[in-house]
Amino acid sequence: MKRLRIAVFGYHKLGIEVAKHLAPTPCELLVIDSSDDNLARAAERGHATLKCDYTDDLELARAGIGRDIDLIFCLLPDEAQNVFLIISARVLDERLTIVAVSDSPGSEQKLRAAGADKVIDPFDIAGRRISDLLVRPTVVDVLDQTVFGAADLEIAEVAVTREGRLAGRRLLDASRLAGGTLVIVGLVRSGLERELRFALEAPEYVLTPGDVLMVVGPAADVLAFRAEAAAGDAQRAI
Amino acid sequence: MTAAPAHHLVRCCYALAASPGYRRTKRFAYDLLENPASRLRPYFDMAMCALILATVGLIIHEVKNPPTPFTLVFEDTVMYVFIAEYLARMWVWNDSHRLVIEAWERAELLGLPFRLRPVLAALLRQKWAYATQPMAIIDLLAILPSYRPLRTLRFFLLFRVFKLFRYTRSINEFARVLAEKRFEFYTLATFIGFVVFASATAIYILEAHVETSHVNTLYDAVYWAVITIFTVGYGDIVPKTPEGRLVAIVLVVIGVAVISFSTSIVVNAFSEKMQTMRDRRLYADTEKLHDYVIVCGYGRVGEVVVDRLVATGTPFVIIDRHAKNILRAKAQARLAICDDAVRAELLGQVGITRGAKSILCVTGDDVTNLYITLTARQMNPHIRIVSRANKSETVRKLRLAGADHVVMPYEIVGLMAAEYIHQPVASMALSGILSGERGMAMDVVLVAAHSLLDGRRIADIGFAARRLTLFGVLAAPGAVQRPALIRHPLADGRDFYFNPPAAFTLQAGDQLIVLGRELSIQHLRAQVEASALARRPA
Repeated sequence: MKRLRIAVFGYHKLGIEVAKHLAPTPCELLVIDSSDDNLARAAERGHATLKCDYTDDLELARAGIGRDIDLIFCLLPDEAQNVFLIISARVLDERLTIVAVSDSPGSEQKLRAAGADKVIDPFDIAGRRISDLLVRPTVVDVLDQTVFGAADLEIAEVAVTREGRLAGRRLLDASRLAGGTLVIVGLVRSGLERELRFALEAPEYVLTPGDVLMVVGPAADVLAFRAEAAAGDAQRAI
Repeated sequence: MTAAPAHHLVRCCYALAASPGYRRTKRFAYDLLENPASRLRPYFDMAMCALILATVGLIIHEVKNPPTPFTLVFEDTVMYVFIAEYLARMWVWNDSHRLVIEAWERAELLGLPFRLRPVLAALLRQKWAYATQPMAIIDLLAILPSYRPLRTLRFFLLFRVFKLFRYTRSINEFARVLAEKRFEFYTLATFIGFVVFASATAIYILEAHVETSHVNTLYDAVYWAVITIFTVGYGDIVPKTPEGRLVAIVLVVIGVAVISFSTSIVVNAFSEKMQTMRDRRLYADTEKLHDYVIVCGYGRVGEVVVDRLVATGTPFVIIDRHAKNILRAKAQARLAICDDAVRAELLGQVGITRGAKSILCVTGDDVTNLYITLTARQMNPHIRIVSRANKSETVRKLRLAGADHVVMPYEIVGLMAAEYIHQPVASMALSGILSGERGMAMDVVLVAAHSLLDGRRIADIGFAARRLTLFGVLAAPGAVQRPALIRHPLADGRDFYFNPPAAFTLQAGDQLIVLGRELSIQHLRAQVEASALARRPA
């Protein structure tokens, strides 16, 4: 599988965090900033860096936008700069995935209008998390310590493929196939509708290629399940 | 010898101190009469107000009508109620038996002889301190005229109207605000006294000998001066000589100045105090809440949290230092106080040691958050503290200061970003489930003793039929390990069994973590509780 190439624009408060969490994942990361100081700090932490003036399309193209960058994060300190960057990048590359961060209530619409695919609202997320801590402390605790923590449990997406063993089965049977150790939480149906449906809402649903299952379970079992889903029949044929 | 009665008294005091009945009674009387946080007191106050208004009505009625037997009995009853209240207030004013016991123990400790007289003197001094309070004097004056030989003092019955002060909070506040301007009022009163004295003397000297003048005595002169300086001017006494008119001119001019000055003092006093009076009302409002959340900081994060607290029906109070944020909260009719949450006194006033369940430090400033966390932890070791950190270095400091949970918005973005690019669906789904979007929720169901879950195997419960997914079981603290494929010990020593097998047996005290529609979860919970009650051994 081709490694995702990601560019992070802006190495400030947010950029530092994003780069820190992206670095250990399987992707190629490039930190882009117009300030030498910020770039020096990024280099200290071992990130690949590039100095670039985001207002200049030529420089953006030189950074790889429109060529081999798959995804960019727009984390510049000023919203107007972000909007400018999003529009410039969108013009250069139609298929680029653009992720932006909103810092005020009205800015999400603006960023989306400029062409961002995904807008993250840090304050909204933090607020939700705080209220989760208040309303369901046990659940948050358990999830933090298992799924998000050091424990072996993980949450993963498994795609239903044409040749895999999952296609054509009912959702109910798919969970049996998972060997009893995985919990199938939900699925996203193939097609335009990208909305998550919960497994227990539609146990009779028949899986079709292109669906994505969301499962939780021990990492090893998730891997095994994924392998089986991807090429179950093919393996048996061999 | 005073030894014998002294010993009796001391023994009596020890008996009182040991008696739970006595303590309960006194506590009740305190709640009824004095305790500002008591729930009984407002009803008692209202009843007393009604009683006072009824007797005052009766007095007005009796001016022109002879008393009937019924009114006489009513008068007497009310008087007894007032006397009982007066004595009860004197009783709860202090703990006399404790005073005696302290004196006795001090004497014992130092090996001195116990002498009754200084102790009794101290007791009387304390009760005297009660009796000389303005409110206590008013109480007494309201009772006295009912005593038959003193009937001539019926005029004092009007003091019962003043007694209303005791029972109404707003009048008390009014008096307190004016009392703060004591210095200005003294100055003004001295000035008025001087002007009245000077002008009354002047008009007396100038007009007392004039035939046509109405100023015959010095009392007439003082009456005229007061009526003129306060710009009432009845016109029953008017100066007749040109010199007298000059005095009147000067007096009227000063009078206007005096009135505007006193008005400005009152207005000023209230405009200065208005904010604190409003705040006091807010604190009184928080006293009515239970298990509420104190939200320090109503910025972007605070607002999101409060929105969701409103949605779940959790009571809360907002504290923010910025008037702009408070206006925003008040526009949505939310309980909000504009003050600096750094002040320990303020945290005490909003009930951090009383009814608050959790406190959120979610201002945009790490220094402030840290300080609030530390203060809150010192004031209440059991409260749940959730703090926001803007820099990663602060996380450890907040934990040291006593925060139970630290949330870092920027780090969350980093995590989200990493999750999102590799598993967009899963990361969104889990956060959606947690926050109960689209009616789906992940929540906890407690396995109550003797309920339909207690001692049953997972397979027998039928989660699928209930439209629930069992995510895992959090074992009761100290429970024996059970065979299961996946077991995770948690930080608090309890075991978490993820997706337990069908043969897994539940125990009382286990917590099920289930995923499903909120309705289904509530239904299961209700069934568990009902069956626990029904099957409980007698």
